[in-house]
Amino acid sequence: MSRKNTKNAATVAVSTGSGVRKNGYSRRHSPVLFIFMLVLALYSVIPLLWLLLNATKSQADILSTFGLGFGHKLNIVENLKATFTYEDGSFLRWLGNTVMYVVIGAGGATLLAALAGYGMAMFDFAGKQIVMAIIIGAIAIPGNALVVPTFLLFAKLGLTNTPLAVILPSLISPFGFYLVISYVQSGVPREIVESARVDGAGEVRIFFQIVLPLLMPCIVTVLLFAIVSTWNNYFLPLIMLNDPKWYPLTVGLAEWNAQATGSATPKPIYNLVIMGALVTVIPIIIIFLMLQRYWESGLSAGSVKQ
Amino acid sequence: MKRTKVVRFVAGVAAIAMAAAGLAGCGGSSNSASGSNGGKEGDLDAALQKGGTITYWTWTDSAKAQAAAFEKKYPKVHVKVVNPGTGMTVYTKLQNVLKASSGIPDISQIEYQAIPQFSVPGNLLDLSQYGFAKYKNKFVKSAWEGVTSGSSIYGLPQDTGPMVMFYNKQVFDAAGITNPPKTWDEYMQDAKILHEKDSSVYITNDSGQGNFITSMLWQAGSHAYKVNGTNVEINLNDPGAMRWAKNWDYLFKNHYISSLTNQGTEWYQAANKGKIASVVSGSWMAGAFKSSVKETAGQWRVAPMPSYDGKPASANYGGSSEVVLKKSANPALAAAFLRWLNTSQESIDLFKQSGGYVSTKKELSSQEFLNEKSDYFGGQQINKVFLESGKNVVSGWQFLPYQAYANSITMDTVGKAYQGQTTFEKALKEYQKALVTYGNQQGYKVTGK
Repeated sequence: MSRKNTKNAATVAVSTGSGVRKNGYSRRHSPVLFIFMLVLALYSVIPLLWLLLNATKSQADILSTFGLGFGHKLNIVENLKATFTYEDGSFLRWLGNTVMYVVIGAGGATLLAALAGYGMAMFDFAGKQIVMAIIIGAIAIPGNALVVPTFLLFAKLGLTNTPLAVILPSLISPFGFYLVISYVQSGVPREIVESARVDGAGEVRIFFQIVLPLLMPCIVTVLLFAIVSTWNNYFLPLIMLNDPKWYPLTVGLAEWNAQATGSATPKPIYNLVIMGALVTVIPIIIIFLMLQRYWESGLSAGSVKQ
Repeated sequence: MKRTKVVRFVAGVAAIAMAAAGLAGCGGSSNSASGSNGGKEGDLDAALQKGGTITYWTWTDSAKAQAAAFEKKYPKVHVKVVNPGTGMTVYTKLQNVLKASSGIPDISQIEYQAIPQFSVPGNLLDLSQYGFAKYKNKFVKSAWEGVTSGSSIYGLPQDTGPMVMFYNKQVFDAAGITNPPKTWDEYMQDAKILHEKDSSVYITNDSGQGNFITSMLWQAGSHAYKVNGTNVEINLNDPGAMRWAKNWDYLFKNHYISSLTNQGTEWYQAANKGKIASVVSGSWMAGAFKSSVKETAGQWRVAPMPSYDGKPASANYGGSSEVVLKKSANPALAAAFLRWLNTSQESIDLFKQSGGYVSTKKELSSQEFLNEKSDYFGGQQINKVFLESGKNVVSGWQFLPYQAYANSITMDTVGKAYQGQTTFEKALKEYQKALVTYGNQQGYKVTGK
C-alpha cells in the first residue's frame, strides 16, 4: 500500500515538473529501455495471441494457415462445443478436478501456512531454530525433486491414483509459511495480541478476529501463489495418477496432445488441445488480475525492516 | 556468525534430502526372475467361467469397444480399460507401479521396442505355459519376433508399423523426377534436385526422434545391440550403422533436409503446403495423412522404403503388443482376455475398423484388404506396399533392455550431428558411451565395441 502511494507521488512530481505530462514522459525515458520492455511485452503477449487466434480455427486451418492470422472460417463455437463433449466430456471432468485440487489444495495450503506462520512468529518453543532451518531448507528443494519419493511413500499407503495423492503434497507451502512469518513479525504488533489476552480473548479468537484481518494482504499473496502453482501443477499428478478420471487439466491436455504422435492410430485433435488450453488459462488470468493489487503490497511487505 | 551456521545447516539438510530423492528415484533394477508359474492351457477357459475383474492399460482407440464386446461374450468378467497415456508415459508409469508394487495393471499395451525393458527384469508373464506357442503362425514374422525371446512368449502382437516411403508425387514431378527413389543413392540425388529446384522444399524432415533413428539403423542392416539375458553388447559404429550415418551426414551438411518434427503442427503445415516431398515412416502414418494433410490429398503415393543395394529391405517403426504383468492377481484370466483380444476375429475386426494396421497374416493377405483402393493416395492399393514391406523387414534386430530410455536421450549426443557440429559417426560413438554408462548403472553388463 505504501508502495502505491510513493508511485503516485512520483507521477505527480513528473507531471508538475514537465508541464505537459505525455511528452515529458517519453523524453525522460531511455529508448533502449523502452525497446527492451517492448520486446519483453511482445515475448509474453505473442504466445497468448497465437493461442487466441488458433482457438478460432478448425483443425485443418490450424495445420494449413498462418499462425498469427485467422483461418478460412470462424470455428470458435464448434471448437468450444467439441472440447467440452469429446470423449464423453472428459474436459469438464478435468476442469472439475482442477477446481477441486485448487480449492482444497491451495485453500488448505493457505490456511495451514497462516496458522503455522503465525504460531512460529508469535510463540517461543524449544527447537524453534531447527524447525525454522528445516523450513527454509525445504524452500530450496524444488517440489518436483520430491515427487518420485513421495510416490513410493504414497504407494505403500495405498494413496496413489486417488485425489488425495495430489491434494496432500499441495497442502504444504514452505514459501507461504515463510512469507507469513516475516509478515507477522513486521505487521502484527505483539502489543495488540497481548492486550487482547489481557482482555480475556482465547488464542483461537485472537487469531481469527484480530490477527487474520491484519494478515489479509499477506494471505492473499500466499493464496495466489498456491492457486497458480496448484492450477499449473503437472509433474505431480502425472506421476501420481494413472486413471484419466482424476486428471487435472494440465495432464489431460498433454495426453490429448500426445494423441497426434502416438503410433498405431495417430489422431491429432489440435483444435481441441488449443481451445482447451485457452479455457484453462482464462480463470487463472481473471484471478490474477483480481488479486493483483494485494499481491504487489504483499510482496514488498517483508522487505522493509521496521 | 550464527547466521552462517544456520545456512550451513540448511544446506546440509537440503543436500541430504536431494541425495535421498535421487537414490529413491533411480533405484536399481529388480531381481530377474524366470520360469513359468506352472499354468496350463485349460486354466484360461476355467478362469473365464469363474469370472473376475482385470485392469487393462492401453492407448488403443478401439480398446473400449473391444472390452465391451468381450464382456458381452463373457458376462462374468469385467475389464477395466484405463488410458494412462501414450508410449513413453505408460512405460514410466509402469516402472513406477512396479517399483511400488501397487496399482499394477493385469494387462498393458507395450510397443515392441519396450518389451525387453520389462521382460529382461522379469516383469512379464511368460505366456508359453498357456500354450500360446501355437499362435506363432497367425502373426507376421517380425511381430512374433518382437514379443518372443527364445522359447519365452511375453505378449501377443496387436499392430505393426512396417516402414514405407510416403511421397508427394506432384512435388517430385515438378522437379522432373518421374520415379520415386529405389535406392538411398538415388534418394540423395533427388534430395539435391528437389532443394535446388525450390529452396523451400525438402525431400524429408528429421528432428532426431530416437525411435526413428533406431528403425533407420535396423533397416541399414546394423546389429547395434546384442542382448543375451542381462549381457548387452553395443556397437553403434558397425557397418550397417555407418551406411546410414554417411547418408545423413550428406543430407545435413548440405541442408537438403528439414529439421521439423514429424506430426508436429509445423510439420502438418509444411506437408499441407507441399514443402515436404516425402516421409519414411510406419504404415500407421497413412491415417495421419488422411486425417490431417488434406490440402495435398490425392498427390501422395506410397512406395517401398529406399534400400542400400537395390534389394528390398525395411524395418518396423512403432507397433504394439499387449502383455500380462507377472504380478497380476489373476494371470489366467488376464491371459484369457489377451488371447481373445489379439486372436479372435471379432476383436481384430474392431481394431481394423478403428483404422489400425493389424499384424495377423490372414487379414494382411486377404484379397479384399489388398485390393482396397485409397482415394487419398490417388487410388493406389497401398496395403500391397505395406504387406511387401512387412515381409522385407530385416531379420535379427534386437532392442536394448532400456530402449525407451535410450530413445529419450538420443538427441543429447546425436543432436550435435543434426546441428552440423559433428559427424554422425562421432555422434553415434558418443551416444554409445552414454548407453553403456547408463546400462551398467542399471545393473546390466554392458560393453561397447
